[in-house]
Amino acid sequence: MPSTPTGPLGARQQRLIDAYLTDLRRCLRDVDPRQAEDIEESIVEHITAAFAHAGTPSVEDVQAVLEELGPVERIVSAADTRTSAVSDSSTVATAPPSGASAGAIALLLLAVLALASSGLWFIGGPLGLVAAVAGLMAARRPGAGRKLYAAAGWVGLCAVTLTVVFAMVLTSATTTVSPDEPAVLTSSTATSIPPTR
Amino acid sequence: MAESNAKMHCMVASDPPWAQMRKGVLEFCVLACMVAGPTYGFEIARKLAKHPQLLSSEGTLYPLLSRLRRQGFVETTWQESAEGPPRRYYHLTPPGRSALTNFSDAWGPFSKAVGHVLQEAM
Repeated sequence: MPSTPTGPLGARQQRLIDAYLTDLRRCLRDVDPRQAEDIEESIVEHITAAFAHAGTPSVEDVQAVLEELGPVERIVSAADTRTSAVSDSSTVATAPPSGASAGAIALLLLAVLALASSGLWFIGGPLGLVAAVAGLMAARRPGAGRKLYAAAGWVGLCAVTLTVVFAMVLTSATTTVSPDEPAVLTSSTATSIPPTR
Repeated sequence: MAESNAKMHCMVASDPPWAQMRKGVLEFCVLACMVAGPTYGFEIARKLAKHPQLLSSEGTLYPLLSRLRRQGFVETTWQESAEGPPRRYYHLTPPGRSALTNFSDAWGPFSKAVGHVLQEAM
């Protein structure tokens, strides 16, 4: 969450700005979280830039800047309802951002690698966990590559599960060695090992 | 239901008559502000706010800039400022420049056609 402008502001001026930003956050609740954060940060930057030359701004100065920014409802309305002429008129606009797809593909590859190395718990486990958490979280957000992210998440989850299964099998197959008795494997497929002298 | 009411409360009841026309051109005016070089949000807002038909509330610029960035028409970089914290500078990408050129080419004949029709009618 962006902080409010810090500078030589009086208490009343700061309260005015804080109240404006609180209203903005409230109205941005229904907007995509990444866009909402972007908008809020930009508004904070705008307010900071507006007072860059002002020394200590008066209450009237602050009110004027906030009035010029306009009602928070109008800002949020622009985020929700304004149709983009650019996206309507350009084929480039409809193409998903390549960065998002590349990220999803990279995560999917990571998940596959985790699955392939699930026999090695110290590699497959952490890689699978990272892929599962990152993939499933990214798939919940709107944007390009959601299906790829979801696939990466589920493959990562499978890798984690397989790693746990392998680890359990290995643990149950550990040997109990006594100096006087032959070592016996405790798993169902155990075979007797003659004592060594 | 409560969420729906909150959303309704956040909507603006009415817009001025030129609001529909503005929707089609404001994006390109914002892109045009970056032709001379990278610029920051406050500077763009002040430039456009000189024309209330284009930007009546400076804050509405920021959802638009966010969208243009997501569409790949602008990119941002942070630059140090002598007057305070670092600023986010917006600059045109090649697709953004191309979209602006296409719009600019179409705008002349379009506005001329509208002018002719209105002139004949009035």
